[in-house]
Amino acid sequence: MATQTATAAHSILAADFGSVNTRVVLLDVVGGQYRLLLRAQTLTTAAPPYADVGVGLRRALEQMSGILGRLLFSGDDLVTTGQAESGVDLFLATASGGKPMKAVLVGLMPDISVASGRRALASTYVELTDTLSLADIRNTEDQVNAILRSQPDVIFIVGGTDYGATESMLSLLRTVRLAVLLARGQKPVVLYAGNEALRPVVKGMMGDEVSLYMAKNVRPSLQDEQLAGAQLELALVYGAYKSVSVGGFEEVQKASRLGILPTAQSYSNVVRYLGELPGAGVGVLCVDVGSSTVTLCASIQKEPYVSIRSDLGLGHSAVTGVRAVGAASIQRWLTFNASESLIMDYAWNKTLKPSTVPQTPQDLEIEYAMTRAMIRNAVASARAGWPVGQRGDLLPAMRPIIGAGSVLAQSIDPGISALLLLDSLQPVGVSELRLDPYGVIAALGSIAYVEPLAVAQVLELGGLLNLGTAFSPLGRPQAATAMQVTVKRANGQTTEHEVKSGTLQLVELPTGQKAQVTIKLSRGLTLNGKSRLTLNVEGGAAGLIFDGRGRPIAVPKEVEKRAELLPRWYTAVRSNV
Amino acid sequence: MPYYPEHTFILGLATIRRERRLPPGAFGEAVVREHQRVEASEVVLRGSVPGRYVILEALGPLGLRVGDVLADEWFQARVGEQVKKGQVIAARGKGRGAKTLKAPVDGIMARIDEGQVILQATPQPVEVYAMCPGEITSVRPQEVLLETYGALIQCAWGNGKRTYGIYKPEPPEGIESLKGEALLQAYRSTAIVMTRPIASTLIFNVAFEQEITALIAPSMHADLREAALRQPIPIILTEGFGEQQMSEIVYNLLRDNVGRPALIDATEPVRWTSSRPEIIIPLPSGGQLPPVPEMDQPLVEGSIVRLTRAPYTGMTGRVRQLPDSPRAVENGLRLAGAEVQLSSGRTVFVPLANLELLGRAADAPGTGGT
Repeated sequence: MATQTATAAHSILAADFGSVNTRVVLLDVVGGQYRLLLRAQTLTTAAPPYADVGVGLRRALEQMSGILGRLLFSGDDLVTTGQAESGVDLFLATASGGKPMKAVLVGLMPDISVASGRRALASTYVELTDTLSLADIRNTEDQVNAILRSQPDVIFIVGGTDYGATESMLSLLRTVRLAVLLARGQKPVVLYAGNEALRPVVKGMMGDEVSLYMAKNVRPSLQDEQLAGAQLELALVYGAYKSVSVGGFEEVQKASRLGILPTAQSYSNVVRYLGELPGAGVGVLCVDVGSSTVTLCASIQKEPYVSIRSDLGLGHSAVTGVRAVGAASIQRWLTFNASESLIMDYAWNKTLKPSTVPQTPQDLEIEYAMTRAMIRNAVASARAGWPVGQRGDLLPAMRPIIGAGSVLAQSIDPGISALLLLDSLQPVGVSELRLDPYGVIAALGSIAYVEPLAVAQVLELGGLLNLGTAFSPLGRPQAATAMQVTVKRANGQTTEHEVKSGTLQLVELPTGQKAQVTIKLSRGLTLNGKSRLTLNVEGGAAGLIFDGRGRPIAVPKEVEKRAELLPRWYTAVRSNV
Repeated sequence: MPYYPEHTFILGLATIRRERRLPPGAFGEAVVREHQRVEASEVVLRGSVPGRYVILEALGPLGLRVGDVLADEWFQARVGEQVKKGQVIAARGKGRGAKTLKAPVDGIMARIDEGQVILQATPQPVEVYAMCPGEITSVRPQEVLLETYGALIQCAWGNGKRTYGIYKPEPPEGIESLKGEALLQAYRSTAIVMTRPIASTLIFNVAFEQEITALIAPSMHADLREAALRQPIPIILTEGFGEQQMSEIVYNLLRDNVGRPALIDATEPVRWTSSRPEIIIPLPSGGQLPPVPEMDQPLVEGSIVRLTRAPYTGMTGRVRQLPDSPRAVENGLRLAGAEVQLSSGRTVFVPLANLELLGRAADAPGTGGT
């Protein structure tokens, strides 16, 4: 529904600095509504020899200026704002690329406060270099030297329930204090999110030389975990770190209205907004597969959950990613014999040249297999913190599910993107699948702080690509046919479809078109707890996907069988084959 | 819209500027002057790496209780002073009944803090060499800038070691054929260039036996990486991991300069530093100053490029056309790309992301030689 907007900021430029790509989007008011006008993408120039993200940003802006016929920058300005004839009204920046913060985590019990600390750290871009806890067998001297050797940017201290016993925490605090006092050069930032009663003590111990942040206890009681406060402070620490770290972010920090926000926080804002909309399932899920990280942002029962796995990725983190998931979990998705050696060679070459793309069918298969394995691994570790029932390795009913990152958003065919999401996440029930092919989520999440109307309007007007609706029954099909489907379109046309067990079937229903779908499931399968149901759905770029493979998906162990089956799955979801 | 690809410099003659720095955490200074000419084996920076901290609980040895304060008058060494192992740092009382605190290591008194004395163990000395003949063009407290002229071959991976010396091709029967042979003068103290992948750790063993100073190879399987890291000599891969063959352009440069000394800097690539594994072969400048390789070059028609992914890994060619629209490649992905004429004469479509510039001017002749 079009609405007039009389906001001060019409043209909004947002840049997201990833590990490999810098993506810039321009929004403007057209016909009274914010729309995505233009986008550009260049290689990120955070690392040497440039060591200045402004170089890549300027290249992207040159591209955009050429198309617009209007300069987006002038003179020494990185981005021109507030000028009538050039530039934009507002510039915002997010980053996931650049050197991650090095963090040392200090806590008490590995399974309690330390685990909560790890989950809090997973909300931003850190490299965890060391962990101190009561389970640490090193003496104080070894711990102090270990902290100094790792040269952390931040020491994150958690532990102790509020107003609980303090002796153990005081001992750890004394160790941290000593390390901070002995550190030469730039002292690490200290973020304290432990027993509230010890706050004055921490303040006294760390002194004036250290930049000290305080957050609510991540574990105020044994049963209660509260990460939001610590996550917010970590985002602030990250922003401050970015402005002084390698990569030339300082100028961007100054030019951006809100400094530099972590990309994951942006994602979280958008996911949270979508979770508030009517029709959302148990929650909303966004999965972003990048070069250095796999990021999951979920809004579950209207609470945000962010998990960044810096050990998973298809480029810079390809080697650590393959090690984390294991070669076997990648091999199981390949139609050819691929030794562990071949997979590790592939991963190492991707780590050395992360911006390259697969050109051969074999390389693409490996890339897709890695994607599936890494997403599954990321979900398995993230869901430990989700407040929803666990059922094996199946995903709760999230709606919508959004895929982001080049491998998902720029695949051969929308159906392939949908298949990758279904294979990786194995959602159960009825899922609305979307993609972020233009890289808008990172932009919209930061714009939300300044112009929330822009977010609503761009999302409403196709900022995300609607892939369609997937129907994924739970269970194992016991007959040759998994589902009998009737699709009644709005124009009255009705089609009948038989979905064979072990396969998928795509029924075309373009974006914006609605249909009534009636599904009769065979024995062994249920959808939303029923064996027969009728519902109204919307189409998308991939249409309607009926997944007759059951859950969990049984992928054959024998490569010959996979060579026969997997190509059929790929063919089944492609609309123009 | 200009596209700025990645660069890997493979140049027959260039002005090469490299920083030499003390290792992270070390303190020291340059021992050369601006405009000084240096040889490869010359020390350009000298410093020390701080030792670990040693924490001494002082209360017990001095006969004190928790909460007692360490008095200044007991200390026989002050903060900042050097102490020797066994030296009395503090003493309380006199004569035979005196309670003492002794230094367990050589070091420096770092801090006295709430019942603890903290020593820093004696720093380890460190020296940084020029590694390559050239001229010092800039001196700063912890780093110097060295300039030289010569061939530059940037590589894909190294095992963290470096050397300067003569290189030659491996024997026709392969380096493995030297296994068990008596030490051969022909290969002793030289670096070996292999044009085929390193197939096994046997190569490393033979290199050790024959006192070979470095191995230059196109590739090896990643499962040999740990063994390569343990080798005392530099091992440098020009192409990457797997069974990649040496690029023709790299092979030709190495072949044309056989017998010359070269810096084989097998730095292990680290994302956040400017260091890359590379081979620098100092050459006469020929009267005119050779150009400094330029980073900020867009891809244009005529650019000389190397292709970095299968099925064209390592091949070089010249960009003939930059189509406006994306095209489908072999696996079905639609990607922005370039028409590239390979050195074989064949023209192929390659995604822009899979091209790298070699640092050669678009009007430079050929792709197969220097």
